[in-house]
Amino acid sequence: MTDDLELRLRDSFAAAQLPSAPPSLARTLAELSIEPETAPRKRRPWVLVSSGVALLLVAGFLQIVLLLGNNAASAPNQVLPPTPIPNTSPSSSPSPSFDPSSVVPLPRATDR
Amino acid sequence: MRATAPSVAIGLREWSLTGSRTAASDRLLGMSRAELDRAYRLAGLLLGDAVEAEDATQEALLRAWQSIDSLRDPQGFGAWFDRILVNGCRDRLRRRRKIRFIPLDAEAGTSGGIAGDPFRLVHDRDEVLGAMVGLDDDQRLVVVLHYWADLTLQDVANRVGWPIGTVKSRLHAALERMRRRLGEGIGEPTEAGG
Repeated sequence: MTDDLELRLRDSFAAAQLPSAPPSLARTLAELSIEPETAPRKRRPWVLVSSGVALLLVAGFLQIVLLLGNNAASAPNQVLPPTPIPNTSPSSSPSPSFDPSSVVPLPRATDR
Repeated sequence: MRATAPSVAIGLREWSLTGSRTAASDRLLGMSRAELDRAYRLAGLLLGDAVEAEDATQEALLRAWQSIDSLRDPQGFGAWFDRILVNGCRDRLRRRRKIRFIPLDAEAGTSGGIAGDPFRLVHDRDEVLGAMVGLDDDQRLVVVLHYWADLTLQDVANRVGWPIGTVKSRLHAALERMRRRLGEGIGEPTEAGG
């Protein structure tokens, strides 16, 4: 229920003759709408620094990619040195380590 | 301190819109005369001083412009701008920490200045509004937003950033104090606004 005071408050506020906004406020709004397009846009230093760092990072990355690409392209042409084939035949030596002196030469293939 | 037009103009030159003009900034710049009047009157009722009301409204316009990117939904412009304005007025009230609505008898003998202030006259000419003299800043804020701006208690809570229970208790205390001043009976505040 709305009591008497609340009704009277609403009535009094509605009847009150309040002043209109002064012209300065409308002027402020008008000034806000003026976009300073003629003024050169300020360059912020952090933008320049971050742009430079980003460029350096991209250049470094490209260099790494190019180097890796060159290495991969030249790899099939390389001649690898011959590697000794370890003998896998069972050794009489109980030692698990490989002893070159224990290598038994394979029998030569003879012509028939 | 009163903001002068030249200082505002200088300040504006230093600002620029970033990116394309958004719907939010269009909404601010397209504020109607009625909306400006409402903002100025709200500030005047809260501050009780026409000069301070003008400054507070101007400051709110500039603050709104600076933080226009924070307005996501232009449909909520009214509430968003109200919050900026109300916060600015509360800051001013906190700064001065003195009662603005001086009883008529205490005003006798003074001339000009605040005595002829249109927002003072509103309270001086109406018995009910004159009873607001004894309210503190927070109570006056709730009364003005609920009964003059016709906001629901929930909307008042949203504008001032208080829990709705706080709004209700401050409104209740305000009405009690006004009733005592008017020598009326006791009644409970209602959700008449919504």
